[in-house]
Amino acid sequence: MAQWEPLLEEVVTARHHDLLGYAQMLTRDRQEAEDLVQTALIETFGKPRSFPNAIVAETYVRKVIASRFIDGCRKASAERRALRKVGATEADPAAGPHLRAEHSTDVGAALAQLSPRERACIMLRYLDHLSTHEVAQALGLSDGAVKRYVSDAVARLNGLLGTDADAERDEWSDVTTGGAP
Amino acid sequence: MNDLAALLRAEMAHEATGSRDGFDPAALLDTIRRKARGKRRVRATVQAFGGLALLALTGGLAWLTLGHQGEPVPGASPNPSGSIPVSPSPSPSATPSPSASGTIPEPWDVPRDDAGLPIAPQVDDATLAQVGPGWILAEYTSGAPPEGTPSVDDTRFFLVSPDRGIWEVGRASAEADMQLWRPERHELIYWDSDLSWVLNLASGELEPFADASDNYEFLGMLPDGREVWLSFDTHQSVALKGIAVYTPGATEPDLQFPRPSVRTNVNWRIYDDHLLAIPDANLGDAYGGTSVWEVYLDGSVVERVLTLPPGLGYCADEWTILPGTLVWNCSANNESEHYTEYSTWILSMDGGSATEVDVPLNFWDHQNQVATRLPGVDVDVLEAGFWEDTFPVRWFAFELPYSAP
Repeated sequence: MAQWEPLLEEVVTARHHDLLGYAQMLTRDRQEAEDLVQTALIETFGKPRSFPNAIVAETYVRKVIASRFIDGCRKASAERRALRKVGATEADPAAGPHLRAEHSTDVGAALAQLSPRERACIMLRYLDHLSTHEVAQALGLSDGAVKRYVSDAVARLNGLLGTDADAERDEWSDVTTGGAP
Repeated sequence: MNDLAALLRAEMAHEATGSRDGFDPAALLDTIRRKARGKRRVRATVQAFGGLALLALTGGLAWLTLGHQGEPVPGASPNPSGSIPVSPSPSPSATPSPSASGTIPEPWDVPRDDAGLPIAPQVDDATLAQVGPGWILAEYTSGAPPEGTPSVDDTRFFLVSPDRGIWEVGRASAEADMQLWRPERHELIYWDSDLSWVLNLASGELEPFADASDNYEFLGMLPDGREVWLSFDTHQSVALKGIAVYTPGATEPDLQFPRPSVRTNVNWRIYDDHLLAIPDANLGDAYGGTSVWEVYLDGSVVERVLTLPPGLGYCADEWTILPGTLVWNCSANNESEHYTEYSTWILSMDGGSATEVDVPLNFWDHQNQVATRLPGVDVDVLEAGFWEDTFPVRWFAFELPYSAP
């Protein structure tokens, strides 16, 4: 149905803080997170889609946030390569968004040590409970790459945070209803 | 607490708490509504052709339901206003189109570049001179490219002939969306960075549409072929600033008038030879009421209070099928999120009683179908539902059919 605006209003008024928190965990930067959330909301609600309720819509927005975050990192990576090619320098050539943050929590500091892709995979896996295959689809990665990112990230987070997560044990089954394309 | 998922949830809650400073939901909502609405308007326009077969079906259904058996069915002209610029139908062999059951033709087999886009020459004058019925203008905007696929951060426009020739005609930013194609004038008008731009396909020249201090969005064509444009303050609120009517190609509007006295958040459509403003949210007796406003080109406004049976909850405006009517979907209770429990009603503009019609479940979602499967589009919106149109989608493609003024 075309009843998208009340749903948008509900998502923004009730869930924007969580979306922003989610995006900040990825970007480690408030301004980038705000931009990312806005972009994801426009992309989500700017196309005709059916969401039965705000929870499903929010889930979708979070996937778009993660996907666009990875897209942005790809672009930044390409730009860094281009800069190196022409002999230019930039302020912090090693930095993804992850190195720019000031970390107020242990978890934030630990997340900042992950690569952007590892961070996105971990969040989709452990916050959104997506399966490996679903994470791969959301981020445009192969299943194998996602397994590797999750495994590496979990190992590092376990070491930094004292957790005992197990990437294989924590695998979720697909929750898609119709099968993703 | 050593559970990783719990730690991440706590971290998100921490970040969310810190995000509350200075947050203005109304301003953010305005921005997102405005941009999303603009994108939807464009898509609704360019996808109109794909929905016609189904609309004709429902038009007939509604006609029968209203007791007009034996009279001609309005059929493929469900909206008397012409608010959807329906072209002369491209010939079936020229432009693959979905059947009423929603079957999408096979994609075209053409050479593509690494990003999956057709490899196409730049359009030339000789090609432009051939443009006529059956041609389309297609927009490609990036989806989520698979791993290893080059990221393309722009929107690309292609001209496609009935015999599947394809020429590139221009590029814009990733946010761009085409609004209007004036084939006779070789002009494409697209929306980008809060402005409408006119691209001359022959010369490649690009200039803002009308006054660059305002954002103009194309609404539709009047029966006499004139274009209706809505203007908004650039970068400002979602609130409409004014309405302008242009003869195609004219630099000055034939007429313009400031925002009529109607509710702020309304959807506009062309309705016969004038405009109709319908609240875009909170419709129904239990919410914001059932008023709509007819706005005439002399600036006068007539409020119409529509009648709904008692007991319905939230309603949403869907379409105009028969002259003097609107179609609304209404939930059976006051919980707006219960979208699966709704009924469809034909409301009479004269305030007469509404008539319930039996519409197949998810009917409205099928408006999302694409009319043509263009080369390079791996997946597009095929069916109702949430997951089918998510990822991975390399390209979304939309099209404007040739339409003579």
